[in-house]
Amino acid sequence: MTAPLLELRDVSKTFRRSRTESVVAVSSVTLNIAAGETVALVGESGSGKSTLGRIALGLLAPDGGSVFVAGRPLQRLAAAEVRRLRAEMQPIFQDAAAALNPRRSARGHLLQALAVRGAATETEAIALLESVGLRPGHEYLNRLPHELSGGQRQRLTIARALAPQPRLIVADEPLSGADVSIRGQILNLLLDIKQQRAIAYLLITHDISVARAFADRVAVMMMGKIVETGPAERVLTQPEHAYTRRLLSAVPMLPGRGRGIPSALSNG
Amino acid sequence: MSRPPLLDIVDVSLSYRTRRRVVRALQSVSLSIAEGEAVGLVGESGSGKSTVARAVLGLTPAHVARIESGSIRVAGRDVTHLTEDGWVGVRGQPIAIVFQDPLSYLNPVMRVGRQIAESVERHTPDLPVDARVRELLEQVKLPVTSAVSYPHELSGGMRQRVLLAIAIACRPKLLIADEPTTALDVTTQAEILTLLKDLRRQLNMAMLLISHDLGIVASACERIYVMYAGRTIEWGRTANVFGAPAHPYTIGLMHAAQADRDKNGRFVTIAGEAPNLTGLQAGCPFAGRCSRALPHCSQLMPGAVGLQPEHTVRCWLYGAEQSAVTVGDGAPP
Repeated sequence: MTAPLLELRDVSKTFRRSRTESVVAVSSVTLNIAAGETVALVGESGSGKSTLGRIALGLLAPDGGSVFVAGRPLQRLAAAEVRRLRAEMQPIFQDAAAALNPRRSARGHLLQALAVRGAATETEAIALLESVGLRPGHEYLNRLPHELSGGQRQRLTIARALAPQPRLIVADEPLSGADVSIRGQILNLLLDIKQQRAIAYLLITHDISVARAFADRVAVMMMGKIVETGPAERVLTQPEHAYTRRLLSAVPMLPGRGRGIPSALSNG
Repeated sequence: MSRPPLLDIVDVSLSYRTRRRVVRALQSVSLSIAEGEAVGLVGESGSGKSTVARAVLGLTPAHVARIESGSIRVAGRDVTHLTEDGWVGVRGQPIAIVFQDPLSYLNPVMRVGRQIAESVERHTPDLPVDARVRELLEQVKLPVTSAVSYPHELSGGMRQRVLLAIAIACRPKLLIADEPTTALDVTTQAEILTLLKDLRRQLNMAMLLISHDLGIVASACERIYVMYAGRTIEWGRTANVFGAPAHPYTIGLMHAAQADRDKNGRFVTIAGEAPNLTGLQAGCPFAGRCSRALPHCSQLMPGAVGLQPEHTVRCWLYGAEQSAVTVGDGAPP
């Protein structure tokens, strides 16, 4: 049996706020992600989902437990080796404006990311821009972040994440900054990437409808622990844990969900 | 109706003007709320929903905002061009407002009990202040001991309750809630929505709930208005609008909100992006993104078409020929 792409084994992380006070952000979490699999991590703010995402990316070292990437323990590797592995795991964040350097053009962002695999050419940058729907790519090369719309900025951060040809993308609330009508466009882009490049996702979200529509598997997090995990459809329609039930019942639903809304509009 | 509506916005166009440009934030917006009624206003950012809330309370920045036409009436009284002094008779009573981000509306260095007390002293000076503050805290289901807390010591949900206590201290007939739960987690959001419902019933208070979240509005409001690019494009009884959405934008928004997929497994999207509101546009503002647009959609703004009792749309697909209107015109519901 091959090792999972990412394996979090019994990881914990405690943040100290002061001498006497500390917060257990992640507590003995075990989670595997197979190659090409999409796992949604859902939970409320403060549940530890983003901390877990940062641990998965190797941006935070856990206090306890271990992280394996393709079977290799992240903490025991030499720095150069970690850097190489890290290129295989790329983040996408919620706030694209904050994730981009305001004084750097799209070209600058992409060339820097492409340099990781020694492919920092303008042709590659243009290809990346076009692969995320910023067409024609050369028209976007010189744009600064403020010269892009919110949706376009998020596309640029996605292009940058794709530059090192990762096998896993950790997307931390990639849609919460976007308006409802833009959401579908970004979701379709993430879906294309998933299908064309066989990239695995750890999708961190508080949005149940996105988790249901997008993920193969769902892990529900509460107060630093994963309380329930399983196939998305099962967890989100027949939840077993009381907290999952409470979370689901709190989501305000539109009337007529699932019934035939006129399907006239579908021009994505 | 024998009594005038509590709030009656008729055909209001409002623009923000600077030396460089003009932003037409509202164009021919009509909206009314009767006593005790819960009305929702949905739309994406930049659609003008918050401008509506601010215009009703005279909170649009006076040096750039101008109401070009139309009128706003509060309980029958015209408030369209009130002076700053005149607004004192509207703000708090009969209309109070709570915002999305309570932290930026609360004084960070004053205990919340004192901040509620200020509202009590101002609006009900003949009541015993301490007793009234306690009563308000109980009404918003905060422990009485939280009066001595500073805003930063409270959670987001508790801060929103404080803001609600300040608002209902004025005994408003209409509460405007502008994205009141957007910053909150879903379980906290559910608690605040339940509280709003309870308060409305106890105090016989009408509500204008502004949100980008269709689900919230659907669960909390009897009637809704959908806004797009500064215009109300569809409105009516909530069950009618969400049960049989007519405007292509409303339909798209509902699909997008539920992350629906089409036959090919693609997420349903609305192509393009919301239009820039600077300068004059002719026609329907959605025409450029609409998959069903007709040749004249980008030329003329359609008038209001009644689809069924209490369901109206402004869209050429529903035979608006009779009420064709040119730029800037509109029709009240």
